[in-house]
Amino acid sequence: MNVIIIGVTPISEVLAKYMVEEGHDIHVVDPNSEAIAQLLSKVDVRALQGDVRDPEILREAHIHSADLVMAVTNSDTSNIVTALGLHSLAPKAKSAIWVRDEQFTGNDHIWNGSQLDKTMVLTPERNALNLMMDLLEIPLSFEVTSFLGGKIHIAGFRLQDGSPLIGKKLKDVAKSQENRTLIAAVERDHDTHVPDGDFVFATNDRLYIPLLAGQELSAAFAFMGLEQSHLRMRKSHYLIAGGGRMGLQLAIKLENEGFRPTLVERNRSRGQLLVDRLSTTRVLLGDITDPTLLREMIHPETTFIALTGNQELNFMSSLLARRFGAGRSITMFDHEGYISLSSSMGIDAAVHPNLTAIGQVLGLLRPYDVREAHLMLGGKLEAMLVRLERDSPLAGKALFDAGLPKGVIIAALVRKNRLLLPDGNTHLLPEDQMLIVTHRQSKNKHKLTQLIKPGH
Amino acid sequence: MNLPMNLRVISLLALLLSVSMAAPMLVAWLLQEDMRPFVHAMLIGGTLGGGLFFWTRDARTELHARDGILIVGIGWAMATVLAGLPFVFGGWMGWIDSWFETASGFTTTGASILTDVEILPKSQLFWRSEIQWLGGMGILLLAIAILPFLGVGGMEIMKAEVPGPTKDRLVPRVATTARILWVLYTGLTIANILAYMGSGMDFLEATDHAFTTLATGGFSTRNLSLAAFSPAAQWWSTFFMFVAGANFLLHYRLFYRRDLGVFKDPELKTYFWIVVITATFIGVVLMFEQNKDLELAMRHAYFSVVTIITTTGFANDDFAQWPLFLQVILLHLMVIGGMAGSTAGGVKVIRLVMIWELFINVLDRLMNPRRLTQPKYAGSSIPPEVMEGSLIMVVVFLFVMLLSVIVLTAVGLDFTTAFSASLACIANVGPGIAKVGPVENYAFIHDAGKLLLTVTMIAGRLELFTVLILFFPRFWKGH
Repeated sequence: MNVIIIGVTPISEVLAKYMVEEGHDIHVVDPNSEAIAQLLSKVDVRALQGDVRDPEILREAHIHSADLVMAVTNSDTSNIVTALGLHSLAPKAKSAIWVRDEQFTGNDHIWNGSQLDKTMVLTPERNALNLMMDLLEIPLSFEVTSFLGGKIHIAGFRLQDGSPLIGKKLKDVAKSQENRTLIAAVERDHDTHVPDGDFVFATNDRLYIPLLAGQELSAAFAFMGLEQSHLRMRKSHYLIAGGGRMGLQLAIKLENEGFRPTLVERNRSRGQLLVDRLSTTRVLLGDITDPTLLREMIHPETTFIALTGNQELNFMSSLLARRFGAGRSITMFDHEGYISLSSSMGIDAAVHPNLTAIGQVLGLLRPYDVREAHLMLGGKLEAMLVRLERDSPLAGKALFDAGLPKGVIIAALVRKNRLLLPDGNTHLLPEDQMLIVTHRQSKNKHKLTQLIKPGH
Repeated sequence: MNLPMNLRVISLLALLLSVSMAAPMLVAWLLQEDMRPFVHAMLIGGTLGGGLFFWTRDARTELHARDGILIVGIGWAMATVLAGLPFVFGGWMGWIDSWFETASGFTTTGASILTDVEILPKSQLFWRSEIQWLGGMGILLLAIAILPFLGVGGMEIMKAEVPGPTKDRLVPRVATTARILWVLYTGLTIANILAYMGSGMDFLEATDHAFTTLATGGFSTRNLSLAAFSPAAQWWSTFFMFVAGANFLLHYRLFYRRDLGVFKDPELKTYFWIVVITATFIGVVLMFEQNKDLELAMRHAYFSVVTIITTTGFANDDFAQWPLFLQVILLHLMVIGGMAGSTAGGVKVIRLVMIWELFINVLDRLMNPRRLTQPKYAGSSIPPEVMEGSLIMVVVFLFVMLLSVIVLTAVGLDFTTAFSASLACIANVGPGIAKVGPVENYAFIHDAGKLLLTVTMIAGRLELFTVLILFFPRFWKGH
């Protein structure tokens, strides 16, 4: 596929990298030659320097033959204007734009009926906030993604010492349990497995479990041997570090759920603005790494959430919060190098806004009908909700003879608004939506495509 | 300052008042009473007003903030003198008494120097009630409503006359806003007249009392006030006083926009619960202390609480006979007053709500010095100038009241009487406790005291600043 990325920003770098790995051809346009040089040293793309509003430059980037155009400059309005103009420049291209302002992302209906209706709106910050809320809702989870507006979650949990699973084979525990719990993936020592029946569990394995709406969390907790008392701990105290756009929006979301969070902001005038916008949140003026402040504000029931604009500060303050006794500490960052670091250093959970944007464009890159897609484990796992078309060879087959390649699992099924956990005897029907979890680098991906929609 | 235009507006006000004397004149003619006091007052008002109006015909129309203040200040002083002329010409009052009585009328205080109101002719009593009705919504607001040429300047006048910490227009045009307010006010008055007639009053008395009920004024045509009428009339009176003490912006939203959200208004809720809680409490105490049955105790309690908090000042029971602590509760309610944008006096519920928010903020900051706080009202931040204005208003209110206590005690009143008279006048209530209680009057007070109370009433009605600023030299010196 030919992809044009307009604007060199942190998010465009992540997107370009991912799409190059997927085998697509990328053209990047940006006015800043230095930014382009930096990008070229990291990613294998073609870059053009020039005004992104200039149709000549875009033509030079072969916009007429592009399959996907993404406007991801730092300016919301510039991205929106680009999308509005695409209609004439590249009539057959799909489009995606990056928008951050809550006035645009929070009021979806303003796009209705316009050219933008068909445009994928990338909202990494809003996605990250939703993930944050999911994490807060599911205790002990270190990562959560949600599908269909929260009807299906895939949540990651760490197996602790003393879990009944340790030392057992997957096929043995699968037989013995009453309320079935499916395991979508396991991470062990930085390796990701989509487990088969002979997989043996070990301490510190990190399990990814699909959770369907209406299903009791306690069953999954019992299965993994996790402390049930955490499920009753939802009356938590939330301490948010940083009152930027994300901190403010998270505080609003928590307020709407009836909590009274505390928010720490360093800048006085920004703090005043926060007080204006929020109602029950306590806004403190201070430095989030100040020990006296942390000692005063952190209790064992505190959930610490680092949302400052500075990734390193998020990292350090989350570690400090843990040291001062916070029950759980959640952080936000995008730096690739930190991803594997965060769990080993004792941070309970993390969200990566830019990675969520990849999940959003994933659907545009696949030949089959992807309804929703998310990356997990810092981009190592892919989870997609795929609609099964009538003429697909998979339709009508039972799972055990569907011939799914190794490293691919169907973690849940949506059949006419009903949610199912599939087993080997489940038959796939047309119009089913399959929640497919795969290892991202899996060589079987092509095979999967052939299975779902042959001929691509 | 644009002095000619100021005079022009004031001359219009004089003409307006002269015209409005036609109503009591008609009453006098129908009842074959003495029409001459009204005729003479009309001639004087018409000649002076007309002459002044003609003389200032070339005035430029634009008005600024100081013009608004001056027009309202001088306008009210002129109106209280002019409208008092019929009482003087009729021989019912002296000059000072008539000025006091008229000011008490326009400011909707309802304090009276008459020991026996029932000896006055019906036309005089009608004029007395009509004065209160005109003053309730504001005489200058009426001028704005029916004289549209004021345009932008109207807003400055409205700001100086309409009570409340923030002045909001209902609709983009000031004149239309004023007209809507007067239409609402008139509509409610008509409803009240019908309610009173339905509970046994004759048309004239129903009108007299509806005028003074909706204005939250408190003048009555009977010595016994509302106690002279049926229980139903007293309950209707309670209801309409409560309605008049609510913000007319809410009435507008309810009647014009059919917006039921008005019942969620935080100021209305506070106002409502203050009334319900104190009145129910007082009612229960009265049942035990004075052996009244449930209906009677509650009627006396609700009526008195509403009449005091809306600063009306009717009476259906002599609350001076109640246990002292209940009377002190009523004194507190006088300070609170009704809602902003209503016809009631006092410091207004909204200011106290805002000051309470500030108080909570200060407590929060004491507990955690790092905490950033911001007093809010209905979810949005209170602008600092509104907060300051509210605090200063309350402080000045109490200070002026205490000054007035000093003067009243100097002219020979005892402390309780002096205190409650000062409070009842600055809050535009009317009756206080002790010697100015609900069945007493202000006739015995020394003339100096009456003059002071007259100024206090006007200052209280115009929320102090509009009047006080006239006494500061800087107001006259500036450019």
